[in-house]
Amino acid sequence: MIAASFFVPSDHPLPVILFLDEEEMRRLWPDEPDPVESLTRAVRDRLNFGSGNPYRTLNGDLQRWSYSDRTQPPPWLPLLAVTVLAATRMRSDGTASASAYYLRLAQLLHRPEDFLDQTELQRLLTDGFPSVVVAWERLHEWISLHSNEVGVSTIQSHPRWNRIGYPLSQALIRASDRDRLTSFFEAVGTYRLPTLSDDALLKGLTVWASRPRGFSEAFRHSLHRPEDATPFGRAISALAARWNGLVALEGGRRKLQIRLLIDLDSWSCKRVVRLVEGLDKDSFDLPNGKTVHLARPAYGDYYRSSLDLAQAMSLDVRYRIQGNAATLVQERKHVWALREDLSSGCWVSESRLEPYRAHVLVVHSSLAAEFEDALREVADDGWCRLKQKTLLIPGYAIFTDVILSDESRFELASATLPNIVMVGLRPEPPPVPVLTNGLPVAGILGRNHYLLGGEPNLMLPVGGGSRSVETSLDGVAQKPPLSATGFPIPLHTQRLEEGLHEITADGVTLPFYLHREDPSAGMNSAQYVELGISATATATDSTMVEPEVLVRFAAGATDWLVRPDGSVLQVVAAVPPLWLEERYLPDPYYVRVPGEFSWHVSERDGKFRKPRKLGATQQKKLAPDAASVTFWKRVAALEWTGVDPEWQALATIAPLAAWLAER
Amino acid sequence: MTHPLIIWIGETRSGRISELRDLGAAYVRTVSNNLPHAATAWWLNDLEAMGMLQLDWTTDRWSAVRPTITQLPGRFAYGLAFGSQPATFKDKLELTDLEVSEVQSPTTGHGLPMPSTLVLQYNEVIELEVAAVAVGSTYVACAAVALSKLLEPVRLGPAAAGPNWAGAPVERFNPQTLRFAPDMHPGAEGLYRQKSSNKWRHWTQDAGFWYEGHRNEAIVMELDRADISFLSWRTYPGDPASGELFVMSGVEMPIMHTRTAVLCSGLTPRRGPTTGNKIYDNVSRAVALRIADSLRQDLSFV
Repeated sequence: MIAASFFVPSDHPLPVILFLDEEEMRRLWPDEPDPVESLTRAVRDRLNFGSGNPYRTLNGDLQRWSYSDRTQPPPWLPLLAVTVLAATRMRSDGTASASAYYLRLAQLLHRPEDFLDQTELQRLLTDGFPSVVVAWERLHEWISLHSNEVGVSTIQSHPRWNRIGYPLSQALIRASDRDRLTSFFEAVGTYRLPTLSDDALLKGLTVWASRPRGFSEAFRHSLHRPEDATPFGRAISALAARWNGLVALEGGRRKLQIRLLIDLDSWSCKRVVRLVEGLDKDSFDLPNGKTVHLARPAYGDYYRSSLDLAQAMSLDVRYRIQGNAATLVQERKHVWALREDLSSGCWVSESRLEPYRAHVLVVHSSLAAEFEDALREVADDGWCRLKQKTLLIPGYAIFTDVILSDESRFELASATLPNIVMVGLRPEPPPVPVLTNGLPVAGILGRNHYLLGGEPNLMLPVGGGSRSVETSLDGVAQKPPLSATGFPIPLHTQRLEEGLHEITADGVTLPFYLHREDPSAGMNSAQYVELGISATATATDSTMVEPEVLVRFAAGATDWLVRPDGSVLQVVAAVPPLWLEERYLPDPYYVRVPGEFSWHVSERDGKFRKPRKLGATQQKKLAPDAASVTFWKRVAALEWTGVDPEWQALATIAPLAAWLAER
Repeated sequence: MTHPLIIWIGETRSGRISELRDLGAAYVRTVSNNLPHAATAWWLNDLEAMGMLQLDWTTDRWSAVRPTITQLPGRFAYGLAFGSQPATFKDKLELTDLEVSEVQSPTTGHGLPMPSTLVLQYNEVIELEVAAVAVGSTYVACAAVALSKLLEPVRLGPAAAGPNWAGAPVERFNPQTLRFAPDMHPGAEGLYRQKSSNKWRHWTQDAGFWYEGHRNEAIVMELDRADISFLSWRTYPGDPASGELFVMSGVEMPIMHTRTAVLCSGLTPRRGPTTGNKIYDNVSRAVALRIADSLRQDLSFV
């Protein structure tokens, strides 16, 4: 019976944990009126207390099994189950300490009608226990040999208690806790799990489990017992290593979480179930007697439902409805935190609040006033409580645009505002330290490459309240220790250099690289877009360059530009417009003068400077306008040394032409 | 120093608008609080107007515009570097023969970074072209003038079925107040809007037919129908060809028109201290007339 319950052949076997306590036994063998009594009596009847070593028969059976083909598990599994049962009963209760193992074993196996008293029985069980150790080792070997079919062994010794360590290693995690752990693994993230040490994983779990998660009392107790840390960490790691990525509930059923979906535009509210991998459909019998069928749709992120869940299920009731392969779950919450679903534009409930992101909060009416007060204290400006002219969710208030970004205000308010409100509002980061946000580059090189100046934020796990965390950056301890509050801790304020950096917190080291520019730029397939004016810069009328001349800008200066036909344009320096001055731009070097010109003559303090030849070719037939006469009269008399002969020729003819034009 | 967010846009070159908004908001919220949810959208609109990126809100995609060197219009010889600014762009630009001055646009506030406007001084136009090649950018003679010549008259969008009167509330645009208000009477001609997938959609009812369009174009059309003038231009003293373009407060020009006006100075508009009108600097008369013509406006001169 035990072998059938624990060593189940499977294509994807999970680690084997031979956990048994009273509750688990009742679950496994519901037809048995008193499974503990039945098991212990059966075991006791096979032990031989008359010979001095009660395990003598066990030794012989183990030897015979060793010489067999060993296709079946070793014998005496019920005895090993009882040793685990004894381990689950180790607790301080006034008569014995929490480390008193053999006493618990003797209590389980002693009967009032026995000729031995319990103390004598305990002595015999203790003295002969090495035989049980051998049985555990054989079982470990057998499971390891058949790990492909039944799963990997989690049987291990204890650093301090090398005899009873074996049953202790199996007493830590019961099946229901193992199912709950899948939610923890999901919160950590598939890609992070393999990178974490046993210690880091256990620390993360300890913080995560400090909020209500449904773990057994024994499990939560063990989390805080230093002597259990090593085997516990190993067991959790073994489960994490074999996790198949699916979140399960009791009995390994898939968890289908009911979410709240609100469309504020069409003023409608629905209950939806997000798609999970590998589950195409299931049916659930609702409390109102109807059956809801969920089926995978052709497109979209949520299961198609045969009836409106919002009509069939009250929002303030906790539901756990078993289907064929999954359990439909609706949590009972005072506060539902919803975030925008970009694909639908609707707001969908999530398990936790995230700092810096906009939320819609749906709050039970009994707490609405307290929440409104709290939001006034801790939320960024801009949130509002919706007036529900037509009630969208009866019995609940709706707050929109709720963003939490001010950590100090939040912590200040935590001291004065009701705990139930603050716990509901406190953002919950992942259970192990992570780097978030920042300005990531070179995604093809990994997740931890960032642009210099765009360092990521550090998120430290937090339970119900803030905590202090010893952290080091590049080996330098942060003084004072960082405070984990659920808000991101920016690293871009640390003025780090280009290159590799490491931050360590809670036993987790997070390396990240800073780059001055994207190191994958050459491999980046993304291209710039053009504005539609550059590719055809010389081809279209829109971008044709009109001819122009640059004249040096100088206050009080006058410049003369001679056109190809001999006419002249006088350029007087203007005051640069105010918009340049207001922006503290330096004075312009040049003034742009549109048109084609052959010569440029500048005049400073009434004196002309030597003419400078420009691009346009001088026409032979001149046609200066009357306005040019003064200029030509003034320059005709001037003589420059080394002046261009073309200018000399022009200066001879142009005044006459101008004079004629004036006439 | 160019802000890391601005560099990141130039290095990454494209992505989802929603992610860029989250990234920008997360960056700013670590150092300052009370960033309104919509501020990141206003910020991206400003970056688009400055010619730094292109936005496609329908597909949730943004793309960086190639770094570009151009001339500013007007009588003074200034150049402008616009488009995205990858990490080494400014350093490379400063190694050329050009003199580079950084000017900051009027900020939208809230701590979201605006790119520096890089104003260039040159001795010959050819220096701009050479520098463009040296820094891996494109040269365009005068982007503002070029864009102004590409402006097409605004018109109603494609024929459509109109709002869903049984769905989310429908609002009608009032050209006098420049605001939308709930209106559930589909009979009257005018501009309507309705939210769908958390985004506004805009329809104009004209002569019994519905046309769907972009918000800014549709409002401009509606103001034209109501004969409301929202554009004016004032010359700079001593420079009759250049001046300031005023856009009435509450009216947004379509992105092409806004970008044309912004690239006249490289700067986003200032706000008039009393009226709140947007004031675009260094807009030449020719460019202002083309913008007005394209927006069906008679440009008023002040």
